[in-house]
Amino acid sequence: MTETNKPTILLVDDEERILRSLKLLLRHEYNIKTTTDGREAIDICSQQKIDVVISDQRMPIMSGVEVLKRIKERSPSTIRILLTGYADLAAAIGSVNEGEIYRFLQKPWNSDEIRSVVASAVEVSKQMSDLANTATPSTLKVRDIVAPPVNPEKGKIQDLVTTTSSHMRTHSTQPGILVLDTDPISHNVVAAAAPDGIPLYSAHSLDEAVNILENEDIGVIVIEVMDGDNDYSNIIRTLKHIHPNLVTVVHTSFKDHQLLIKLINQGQIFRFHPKPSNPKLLSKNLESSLHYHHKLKTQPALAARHKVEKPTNEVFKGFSDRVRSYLRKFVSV
Amino acid sequence: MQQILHRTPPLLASVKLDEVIEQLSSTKYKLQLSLPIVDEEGKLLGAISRHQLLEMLAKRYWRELYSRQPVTVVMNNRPLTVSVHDSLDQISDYLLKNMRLPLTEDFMVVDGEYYVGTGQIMDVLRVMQNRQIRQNAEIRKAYVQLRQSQAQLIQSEKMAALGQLVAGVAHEINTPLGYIKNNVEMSRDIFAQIREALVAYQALHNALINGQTDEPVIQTLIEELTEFAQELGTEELEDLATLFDDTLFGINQISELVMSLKNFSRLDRAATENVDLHENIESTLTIARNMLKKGIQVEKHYADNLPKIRCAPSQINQVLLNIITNACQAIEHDRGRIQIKTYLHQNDVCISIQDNGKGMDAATQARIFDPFFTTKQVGEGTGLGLAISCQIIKQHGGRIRLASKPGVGTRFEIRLPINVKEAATTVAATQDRQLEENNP
Repeated sequence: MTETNKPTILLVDDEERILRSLKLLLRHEYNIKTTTDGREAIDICSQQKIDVVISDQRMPIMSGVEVLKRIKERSPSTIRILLTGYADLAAAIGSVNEGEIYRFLQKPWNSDEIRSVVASAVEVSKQMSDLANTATPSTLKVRDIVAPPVNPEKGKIQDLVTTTSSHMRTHSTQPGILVLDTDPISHNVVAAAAPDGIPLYSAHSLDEAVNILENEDIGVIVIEVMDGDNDYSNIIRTLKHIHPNLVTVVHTSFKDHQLLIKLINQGQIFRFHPKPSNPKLLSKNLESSLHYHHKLKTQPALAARHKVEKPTNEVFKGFSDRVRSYLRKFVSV
Repeated sequence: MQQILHRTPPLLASVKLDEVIEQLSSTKYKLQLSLPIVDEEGKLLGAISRHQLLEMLAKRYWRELYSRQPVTVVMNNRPLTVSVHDSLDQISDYLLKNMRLPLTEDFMVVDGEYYVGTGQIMDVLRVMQNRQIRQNAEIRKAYVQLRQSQAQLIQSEKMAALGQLVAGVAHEINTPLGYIKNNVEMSRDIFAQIREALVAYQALHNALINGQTDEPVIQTLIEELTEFAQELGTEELEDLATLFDDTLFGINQISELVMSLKNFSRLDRAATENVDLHENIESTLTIARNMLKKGIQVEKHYADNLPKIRCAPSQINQVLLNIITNACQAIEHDRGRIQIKTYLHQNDVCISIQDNGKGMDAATQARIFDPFFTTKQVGEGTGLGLAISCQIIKQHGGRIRLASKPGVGTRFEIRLPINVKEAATTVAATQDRQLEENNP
């Protein structure tokens, strides 16, 4: 493989020794570019094709989240990875909501993990740029695809708990939003924030949620992860595995840094929305989630970006027998 | 009221004085100082006291003149009287104001105009005294509880500060640890390659020395060795040198951090000692390094020959870290600058810490040292940091002041007397004692 054929990785960190160390780790397989300056990183991504960028979070001048957010705007096919030694919840929330990062890695890192994450990121980047080239021969970029038209009728919460799903099936052509939360207030909050004309479904348990997902066209799931009995990152991963186009919005009062990292890395969540909700922001997040679902559906290759690892036997813990047998159809045990 | 009320049977107004004298010596009224006198309807008219009667009896011919007269002729028309509805406090107030010494009478208890019973002044005083004792005990208990919760608050503020500090340092260590780990792992891989090459070299060496090995075998060994040499290359070995340099640098950095943590806590030192404040400032700055990382410049102007002072260094560090943390948090732009000056002013050693952060308005400044006053989000600060800092400096016989302007910055000045008396020693002793009291 010649130098020019190798994928290019950009490393951003204010500590040069980190850059040197990572460069040595990766330089056999990739072209490596490094910089200690976030602004320079943005320039590099605008000027040349960078497949993957790995950035530190805490840097003078500009934070990693800010750097990745701007790179996303300028070069959407550059896959973004955050590498940080700080447990900073705000940064983690920003990294998923604004930076739409691929993985959140922590210092000190595991070199095998970094190698495999970079390899899969490179793969995704390749698919994304192929997609951009074939789907849009003109200058139209992936993110410019217009939002789906919305139904003028205002979406209503449909309680599917007591009725059969076929009876309640909506005839809307719009994919719906499913709220899985035990707190009734959250259902109202989401209903108020959801765009007009989008069908809304309520579930208060995993069983109900799986039932709805099986029978309805669901684009976005808004899920609370507070319920301590279940490992939701596994559940989210499983749902995502079965429904690759499902976009996950975590809406929670449980603000834990490690959980969020797990949700990003394993659950491939799209947005993290801490309670109590800012209605405007929730509304915006729901809209972009629906928009993203539309993109995933129309461009299946894009789903690779959010591909989750195959769930293990463990995931069945949170489900009832009935749902388990349903899941077995999708997950080899 | 019930505990002091005696349902003493009253005398009617028509009763003759003779009979009154007789009644008073009967067992029924044995403990009474005075007897109530009522009309037919039971309304209180007055009272007659034992003392009063004895005084009159002592007069010559009094008995002959008055014994057939009704009691109303000599009775006291305005005896001490309280309402059955009065509180004990009201009653005791009234009695203390109106009773005559020596105590010669009981007080009357009425409901409106109607007689209810009598009461003894001593009883009231006894009840009041008991109550006082009980209240004192309660106050003492409340005081102890207050002291305990104050100590707990100080403790939790300390824990919060400590948690922040530990998290900061742990993260600060993560960066060098990140590349050290990676470098050592990579070095190990390169080392494994070198070892393989050495083994191959050894094999070739043996084959050549031995002199009996066939040409093709030697050829193979040479090819093998060449392959290793290509794989390793000079570049790889140069990298290895860099890896070792970086690794040592990182390890030094971690040692420095650990050292400053140790200096900061002063766990291995005496509670009070002669201290060079510059050392305190330096170790605090190292501890605060992760907060300064967002591009804040620290300018230091240290006075030459700043005298050492006797103080509790870990407490002074707590104050310094608190002020520096606040300064970092006040800076919300990327041109952050913190100026730290030390100087002598008369008999004080002074430290000034000035930031160019968002500053505070007069209202905030006025309350900044108040306990529980905080401008931070819930959960981010206890509102005790500066209150405790202020206390620490005062206990050292010094003072702490600030000047601030919104949008410009804030300056804190700490002044500590060069000759701290035994203040610092007392501080440490007090805190130890409090801890002991709270952990029996």
